[in-house]
Formats: sequence, C-alpha cells, structure tokens
Amino acid sequence: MTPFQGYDIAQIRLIFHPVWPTDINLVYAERFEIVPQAVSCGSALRGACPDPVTGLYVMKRSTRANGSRLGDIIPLLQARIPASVVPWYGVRADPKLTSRNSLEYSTEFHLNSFFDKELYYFMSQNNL
Amino acid sequence: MHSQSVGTNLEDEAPDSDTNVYRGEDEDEDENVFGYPDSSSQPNLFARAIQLATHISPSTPLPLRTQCTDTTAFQLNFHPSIPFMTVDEVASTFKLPDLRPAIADYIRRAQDLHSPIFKIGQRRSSPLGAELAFTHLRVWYSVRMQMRTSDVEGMTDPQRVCAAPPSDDWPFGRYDTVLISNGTEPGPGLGGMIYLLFYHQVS
Repeated sequence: MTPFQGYDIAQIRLIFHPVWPTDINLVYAERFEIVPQAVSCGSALRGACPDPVTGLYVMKRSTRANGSRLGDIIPLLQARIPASVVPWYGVRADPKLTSRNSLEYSTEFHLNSFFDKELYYFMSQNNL
Repeated sequence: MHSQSVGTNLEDEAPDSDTNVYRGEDEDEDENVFGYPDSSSQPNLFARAIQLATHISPSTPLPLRTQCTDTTAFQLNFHPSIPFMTVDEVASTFKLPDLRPAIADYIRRAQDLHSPIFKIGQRRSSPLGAELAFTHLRVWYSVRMQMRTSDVEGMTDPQRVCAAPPSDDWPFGRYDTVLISNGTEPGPGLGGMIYLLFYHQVS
C-alpha cells in the first residue's frame, strides 16, 4: 500500500560516512508500509487510513520480492523527525515480546502518532 | 520549494581540531535516554550548523558533525563509534548483507543519474560484490535530531536516535524509527528535495 505522500516511516539501521572526500552523512534505512484498514468502523471498504478504533496507522515492514527487508541508502539530512513505531499485538500479545526485541519479532506495528506533540503536529500539518 | 541544506565542505577530515568545532568532548552526556535534557539550557543545533557551515577553514574537521535542513538539525559525535571499518565488516556487524550493493546503487544514482531524489525501495541493480571507490566507513551509533516547531518554543529539545548493532543489552541491536522524506512531499515550508551529491567523480 502506498506510503504517506512524500514521506516514509523507516528504521535507521546504520549511520555512516564513507572514508572518502564527501560531505554527506548517510543512513541505511528500512521502510515500513501502511496496512490498509477499514475506512470506518464496521465498513468492509479498506484504505490507506488509520485503524478507525485507535486512530493509529497500522504498519508492516516492506519487503523485496525475495522476502528480504526493503532498505536503501539515503542522506541523513532527509530524516525529518523521530517516529515511534510500537508492536500491534492483535488479539493476544506474544509473551516473547519485550521492549528490546519487539521490532524484530512483531509483524504489524502501530505508528504511534500520539507519542509526542511534535510528531502529532508534524503529521497533522502534513495531512498524514 | 526546495530546502537548502546547510553544511558544505570540500575535503575530507582535516587533522586535529578547530576549538570552535570540537570542544574536547562528545556532547552526548547531557540528556537521559529519553532525549529530554535539562530544559535550563536548550542547545540550538540549527545555529551551530549554520555557524559551522559558514566558517569552514582548512582545519575544520570534515564532514561537518552538525548540519541542518529547514526542519531538522542533526548532530553526530565528533568521534565516530567506529572510526574505520571495512564495508564488509560493517555489513556483517550490522547484519546488512546488501550494504555493499546498496551503497553502489546510491553512488550510481547520485553520480551517473545526478538524481537529487533518494528514496527507499529502489530496484537493487548492483551485484553483491560491487566495486566501490572507497574501502572503509566511519560509523556512528546515534545521531541527535532537533526539530523546528511552530509554537513559541521554536525548537524541540534534541532527541537521540539510535542505530546500534547487537550488544549484550540489545541482542537484536537498537535501531530507532524516523519519519523520512522520500523527496516528493508536497507544499512549501517543510522542505522538499535536498540537493546533495557526491561531487567526486570516480576516475
């Protein structure tokens, strides 16, 4: 499903600079994508909208055709704001999950746009 | 509308330091793990980035550790967490098997296509063993990000964003998430494409 207009939610996997004459600091970042949700409570119609119950987007990791996670090199300066991504437990939380492994073990996540006011404002102002 | 990014320099790391730039310590101890420092003295990374970029001297350590765009300022520690490691060792440490082809694809797009848009999810066209013009990377385990706000405070407190490899405490590594431009955001004010290219041609 199409990501946000103009932005991606991404996990930063590496912050680096080549030992080479360049002034660009780079990151290797892996993208998440939106899992379509019902457009309203009880509706069968699904779209790239937040979960109507929580008001939060449901995300999953984007993958390549071979199943590997979708990552690329991007200039660090393209990052805009930290964004909290938390596991979406579904019906029952996996008891293995802890704060230190949940991004690895979970398959679906909430983009927690209420995490702090900066992220909330940023998303509101950009109609995300 | 395109955001101007501040922070330009022409050569690689100069030896030793300009005291203006490197104040003898890495500035990562002034906040707790949640990124909320004591509010009595809020740092202004934007001002620092602009000051650095406009006062580059032959002794300025490059790349600049503090840089900013319209919306966001970034600060890396003066000392990288890993100052010198081969690309393949970094790939193994961070469990990124396609790091080398990903870098090769990035450079090809930046140089050959002169593309200003970098976006996650491009086709991987370089092979696993792709040749690069350099052999080593310097790596930071975190970056501090400070955002401009529309309220009276003007800017947020800097927040630490981590990208640290597996350790005893974090067996899967600690990799934080961000909202990142993919070069196509609409509207003015929040910054569009960033024109930053590798300027060295591979000869």
